[in-house]
Amino acid sequence: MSDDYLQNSHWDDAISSNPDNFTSSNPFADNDNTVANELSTTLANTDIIGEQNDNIDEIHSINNDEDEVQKENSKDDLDKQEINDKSDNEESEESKPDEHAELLSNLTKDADKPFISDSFQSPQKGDSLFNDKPSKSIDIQIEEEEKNNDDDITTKTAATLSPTKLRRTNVYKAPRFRRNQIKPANLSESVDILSQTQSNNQNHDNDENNNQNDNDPLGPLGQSIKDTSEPTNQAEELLKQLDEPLFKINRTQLTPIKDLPQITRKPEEPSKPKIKLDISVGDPIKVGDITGSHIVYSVRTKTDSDLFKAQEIIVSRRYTDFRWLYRQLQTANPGRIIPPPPDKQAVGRFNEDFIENRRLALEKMLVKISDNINLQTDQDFIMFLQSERFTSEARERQKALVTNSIFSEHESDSSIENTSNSNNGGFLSSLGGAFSFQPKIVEPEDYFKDKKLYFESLDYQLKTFFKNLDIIINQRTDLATVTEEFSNIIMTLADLEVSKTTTQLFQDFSNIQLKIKDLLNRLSLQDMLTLGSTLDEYQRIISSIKTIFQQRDKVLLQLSNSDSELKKKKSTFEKYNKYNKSQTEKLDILQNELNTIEKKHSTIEERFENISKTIKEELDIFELEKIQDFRNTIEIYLESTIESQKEIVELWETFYDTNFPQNENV
Amino acid sequence: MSTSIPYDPEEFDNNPFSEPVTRNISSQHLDDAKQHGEQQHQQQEQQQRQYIEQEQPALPKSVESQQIKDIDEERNLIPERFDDKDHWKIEIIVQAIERYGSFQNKRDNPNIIFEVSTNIPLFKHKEYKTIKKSYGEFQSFFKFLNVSITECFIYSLPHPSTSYGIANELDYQQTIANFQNWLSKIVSNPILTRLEELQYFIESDFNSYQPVTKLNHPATGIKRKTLKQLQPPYDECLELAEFRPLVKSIYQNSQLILESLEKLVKFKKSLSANEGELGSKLQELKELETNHVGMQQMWLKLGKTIQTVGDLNSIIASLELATLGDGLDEVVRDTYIFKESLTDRHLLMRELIAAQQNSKLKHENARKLQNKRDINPIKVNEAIRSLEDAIKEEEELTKRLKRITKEMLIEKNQIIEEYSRFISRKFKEFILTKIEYERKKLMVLEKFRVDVRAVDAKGGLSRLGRENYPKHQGSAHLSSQGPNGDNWNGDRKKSHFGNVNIEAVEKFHDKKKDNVKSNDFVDGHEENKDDMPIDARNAASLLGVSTFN
Repeated sequence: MSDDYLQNSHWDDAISSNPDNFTSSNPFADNDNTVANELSTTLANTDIIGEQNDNIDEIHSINNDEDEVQKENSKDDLDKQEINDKSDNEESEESKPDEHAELLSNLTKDADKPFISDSFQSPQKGDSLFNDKPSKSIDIQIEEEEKNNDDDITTKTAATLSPTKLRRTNVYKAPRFRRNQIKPANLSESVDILSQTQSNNQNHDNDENNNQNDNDPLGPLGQSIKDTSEPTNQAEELLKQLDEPLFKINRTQLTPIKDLPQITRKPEEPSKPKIKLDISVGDPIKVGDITGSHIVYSVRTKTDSDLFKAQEIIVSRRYTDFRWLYRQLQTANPGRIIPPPPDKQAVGRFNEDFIENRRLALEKMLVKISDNINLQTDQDFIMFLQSERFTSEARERQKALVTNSIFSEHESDSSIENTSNSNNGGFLSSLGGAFSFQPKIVEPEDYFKDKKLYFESLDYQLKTFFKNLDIIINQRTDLATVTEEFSNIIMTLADLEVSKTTTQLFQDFSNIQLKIKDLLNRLSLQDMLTLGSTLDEYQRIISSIKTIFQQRDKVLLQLSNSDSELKKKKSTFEKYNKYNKSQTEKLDILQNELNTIEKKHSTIEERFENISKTIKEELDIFELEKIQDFRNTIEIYLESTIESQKEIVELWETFYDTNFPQNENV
Repeated sequence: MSTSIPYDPEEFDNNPFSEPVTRNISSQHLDDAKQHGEQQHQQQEQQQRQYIEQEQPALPKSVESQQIKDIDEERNLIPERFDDKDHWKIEIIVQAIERYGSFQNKRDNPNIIFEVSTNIPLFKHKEYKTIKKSYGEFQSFFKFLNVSITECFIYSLPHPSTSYGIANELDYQQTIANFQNWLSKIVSNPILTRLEELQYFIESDFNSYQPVTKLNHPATGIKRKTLKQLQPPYDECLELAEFRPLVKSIYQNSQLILESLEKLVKFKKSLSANEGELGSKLQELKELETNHVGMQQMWLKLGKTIQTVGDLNSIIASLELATLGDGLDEVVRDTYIFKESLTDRHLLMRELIAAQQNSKLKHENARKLQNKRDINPIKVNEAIRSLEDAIKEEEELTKRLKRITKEMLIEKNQIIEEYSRFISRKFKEFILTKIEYERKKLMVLEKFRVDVRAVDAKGGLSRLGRENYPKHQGSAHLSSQGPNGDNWNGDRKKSHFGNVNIEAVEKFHDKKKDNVKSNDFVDGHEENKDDMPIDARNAASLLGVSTFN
């Protein structure tokens, strides 16, 4: 299964992510082949892939609405391949076209019915929809597909990539995905319309295969898998039989970008060992002119993973880039505790101590991310570690993510609303969620209530701990200064040279005070680097945790909103049902609306449960790590304190020995 | 070395610019100056001889005659140091200190109980048991000595209490030792032992002593201050001329050090207070460690350890103040008194100069009168009488100044020696306590190491890389310090501190605990660590006893 998944996803990726290179089949095909080889698929043979490529080329060479037959053929080919790949439930392929034709006619009858109003999907695209509810993603993918076509026709170009670049980045599925998704979604409403019409046309061709696609941008109601699984009519029943295996296949075949890390995790966790990453942050160098100077750190990664272009990669990143990574990971992984970067600091940014502390904290952040099985394969992270043109890529990814995050947070909104509105609605509601001061949420689980309280108090405790430590360190620094003064004054007394013994005594005493001063300073530094940095880090981690609680709260708010909406709809429906039974058309519409809302509600519910589950998992991990981190820190702290204590004892004893040697004989 | 001033072997004067007037006014004075000059050649030797082998003026031949002459003069000037009654001895042993009444009174006005045995005929008895004198009486006796015995450097009277705090056993011991020292120093001075005032002091009843001899202070108040502003008069005795600035800088520097030390101690105390607070805060963290017993224990222990270390730091700071601080304080007070005594000598020199001028004036008057043709016998008599008075006064002052100079020269070296001895003693005390407590701190920290490693089964970072290797039981040794030296110290020689080894430390503490009931020191903490948690209040009361008066 996993192999299938991998192959397909790559395949999909290859198509969708490289619009520009689409026309030139050579690099593309090469790429696909290499990917396939790399993954050592059990099923896919290169011939089929080659065929696919041909087909795809065909698809694109044909004008959108022109040659349906050809398209169908290509679809069939693809389907064949898939079916062959996946399962052998299917009968002979020859029988299929007939069935298809029959089904097609059935479906076209009911074309405006919601459940059949499936948008056209290229097989690859359409597949991805099955395991994923987000109807918007489907839209986007359609648009994407459309765009791919467009690219051919209108030579509309997105970011250009060199073939080598392509191959490199190709390995990580999501980035290209996102970029392509956004661009059309953001840019062109006209494209929307185009795609809609196109998809409608294509619907008829591909209904047989993509019956379960619930998404019709034109139709008022989008339906997802569960809806379609209800046998509402004959055609549906037939299709169900037909599609059962396909559905299964599709489930694993393609994943929406959002869920990709989660899904990859599942097969990874038990079987695949963690990627070995050896990351270090070093060489802080000040760059820039007087007005805009900043520190650049070089991030060195050593790895044996295939995900990276080389075994050892060195890139230079500035502080803001780390913050970007943090934000990016945070948005992309709701419910996950992301190791945070150190805090911003306005003044004293070029202070040596500060830079060192920051460097250490940044390194710790990256190492922690790379240690996290859920985050280490995140494309953003990998891109961060090896991209040569980080700034532009980062910008693109961020854009993609912002759209995606809204989409993921508000996927259910888009299923009722038109695609053009969904963005707006989603955005607004996200704003509402973000800006409402105290959303009235009734926390359903005691666990989270307790945890929230726990983290509040932990935060408080660590803050006081840190404050106290800070006071002590400051005082120690003051003490060191006073000790130095003391030493100097003693030296003046020694300079009087009243007598030989006293002079010697005072000189030694003065020196020892200086040494103690150094020791105090060193101890302060050590404490700051051990206890201080750990405390600081944990304070930041706690704020990360608070963020995931907020994310969950947001979903919870949505849930309660949709809950009330559902109730409202239900009551309207019932009212209508009571008094206006005769108006079946209206009633149907209402029924549909109700279904949609129920659907949406259940999705949110599911998402809420997911995020709650993730948080619980994360918190368990956090607890373990916290214990280990603090234990280790305390141990290091203790050992360094013991060492400096030994040094103090030795200093004084040496002083004693040199100045009172007569005592040895006693 | 070329000089424009022709060398005159007779004129041993280090100051070519000194006014000739001073030397020419009186021939006696000049002689005196010469004598001093010559004396300086042999000063060192003389001093040694004087208080080490006072009875044997065995000297090198070359200078023998001169020295004999000097000694004769000295014998005349300071008969106390040369009389045959050298066997006159007085011994004072301080037995106890009595503190009673209010806290203020306890602290400021202890009664000192001592016994005296003597063979000086001035005293009525040979033995005096349990003489009780109040601190006030000591003060008046000291004041008398300081003012009227101008030739001696009188050591400052010890403080009635020490920085240990009066509730502390160490304070009791230290105060007794201080008084013992002071009295010993007083009675070791032959001039002072022959004072009648000493007899009065000892033989008077408790709380009834008042100086019998009238005090005549050379100058006090504003007059003294003004005179001190003037340039010091020319001093023939180079040694003493240099001594005053030295004493003064010791005084000033010691004062600065003392101030700085106090500041340091203040910082250390506040640091340790904060450590205590941190410790208690850390113990609260245990509450948040809901499901890991090991960590709970660790936070608790860490808090306690940091608190204990804070307490130890505070104690160390207090002890620093009590040993080094008190020592420096004594140096400051002593040097101040020495400085003032030297000022008194300067004042006397001014008086002498005035007297010399006076006698010169009188002499001039008499000469004028002699040259006059009509001699009024009344006037002549008057002039002669006033001249004689003036000369007599001058002679008296000269003799007194000489005596003071001689005695001070003797005592000066004693003072410097005593100063060195004192400083190293105080330093030794200071360092020994310091080492003791720093080692104790180390012990406390190392004790905690076991707790950190025992947080979970893995054994922490100490077992990094050999997590699976079976844990050696008892490998987590309690302490790196043993009777055979330290694990971390290559220096394997037998420990030179009686109280450095753990056993010794423990013994030391046991002993201390037996003695001190009110003052439960850190050893108490350590030994009862498990059943007696150290909270902030507990620590404050413990520290409060020992540090705040």
